[in-house]
Amino acid sequence: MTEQTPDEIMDLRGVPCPVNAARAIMQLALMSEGEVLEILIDDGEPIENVPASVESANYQILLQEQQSGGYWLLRIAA
Amino acid sequence: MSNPASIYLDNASTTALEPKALSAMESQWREKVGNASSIHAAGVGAAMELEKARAAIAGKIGAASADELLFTAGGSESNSLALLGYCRAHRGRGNHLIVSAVEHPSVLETAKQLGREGFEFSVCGVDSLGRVNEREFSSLFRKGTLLASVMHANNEVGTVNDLKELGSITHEHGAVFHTDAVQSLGKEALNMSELPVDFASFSAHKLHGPRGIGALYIRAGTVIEPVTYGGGHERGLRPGTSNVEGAAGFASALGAISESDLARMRELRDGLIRRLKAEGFRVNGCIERRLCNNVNLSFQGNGKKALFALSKRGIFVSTGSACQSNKNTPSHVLVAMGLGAQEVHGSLRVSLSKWTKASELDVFLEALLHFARDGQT
Repeated sequence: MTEQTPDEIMDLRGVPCPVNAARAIMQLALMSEGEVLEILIDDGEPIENVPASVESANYQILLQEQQSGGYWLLRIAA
Repeated sequence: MSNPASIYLDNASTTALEPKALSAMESQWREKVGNASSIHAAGVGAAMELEKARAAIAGKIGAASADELLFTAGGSESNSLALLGYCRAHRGRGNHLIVSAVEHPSVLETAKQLGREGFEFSVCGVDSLGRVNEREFSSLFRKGTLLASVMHANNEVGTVNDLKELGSITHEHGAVFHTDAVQSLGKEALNMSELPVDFASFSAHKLHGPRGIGALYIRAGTVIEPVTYGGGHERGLRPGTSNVEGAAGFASALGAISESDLARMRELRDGLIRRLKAEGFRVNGCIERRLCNNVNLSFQGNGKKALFALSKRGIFVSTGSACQSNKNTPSHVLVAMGLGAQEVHGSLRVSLSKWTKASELDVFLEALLHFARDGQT
């Protein structure tokens, strides 16, 4: 499933906490079950907070991977 | 209104709250407690409400992205933030700005503040209908002009300026264009993706939203610096705990305005203007390009005395803008339009809302006619 092509991609780099998590959860709520949202978030506070916030909203993180630029890619099941 | 018999015709000052906006805010107040900056679930929930409101308003103004919209406490703050924030951030590139003579005091006084900080500003005149003189406007640009600010629709006489033309002239001179769109949002078409506008100021309470919330549109890529400090809210440009309830009410009120509301106001406005003219009153401002809810008139009498006489009967109108009507200074807008002393002295602004009834205008006109004839209503 982690290899699944994302149905939606959001670049949330530069978006502060918790607005990054809020926007991701709002997007997930619009998607159908089984679809995958890919988000890009900054290192530091965002990677510390966003995964926990997404999981608190009962969404499953399928992939969490740091990219060569230092930012993070997350894939989340809607 | 507390008095059901009263007739409120001062909707350019502020408006009664849209019930849907009250409901949207009430659910926030009653059911939700999170600070939109907290990272726990309650905080994320509040941030989601804020972002929903931001996206809804951004969609209504045709912004390319919700990120282009910054929540503020209202129109005056938005105007100040745009002018101070941009000019201070770009001081190295120039030191000059242009404002029109009929701007709201929050633009004119901010320009004066920038003057005290070493900037220079030019004031562009208007014609007898309140329209910014485009030839004069164009001539005021010079090397080092950073910004020009012209309101979309005037708060006193309702004249609507051509943003496309004025913004294009500004861009041709390498400056950014700000417009105070506080009176026009919800009444005039505003599509930021198509207009050459870099900043636009808005306020919720002019369109049946709550007081204490406004917004500033900032075109993506336009750099400003904050004027207050101490938090990362609103991209670090407007620190302070987010007014989630206000934002929800703002979005709801804006979404509740319909084309039929505007058409009805236009019809009532035109009817009132016709009748006023037939009775010998002068109507100030542009007839063709005018806000759908504005009537500004002059008569051979004292406008302020008329205001108080009408107020005694529970009919509420205004002389000039609400921000200035408590001052004994003549309207700078009417003066800039070249009206004579008596026409300024005897002026009244009547501003309708989507709930104004034809019968209320009948009562107003009858009372005004009595006052104009006998000095009492």
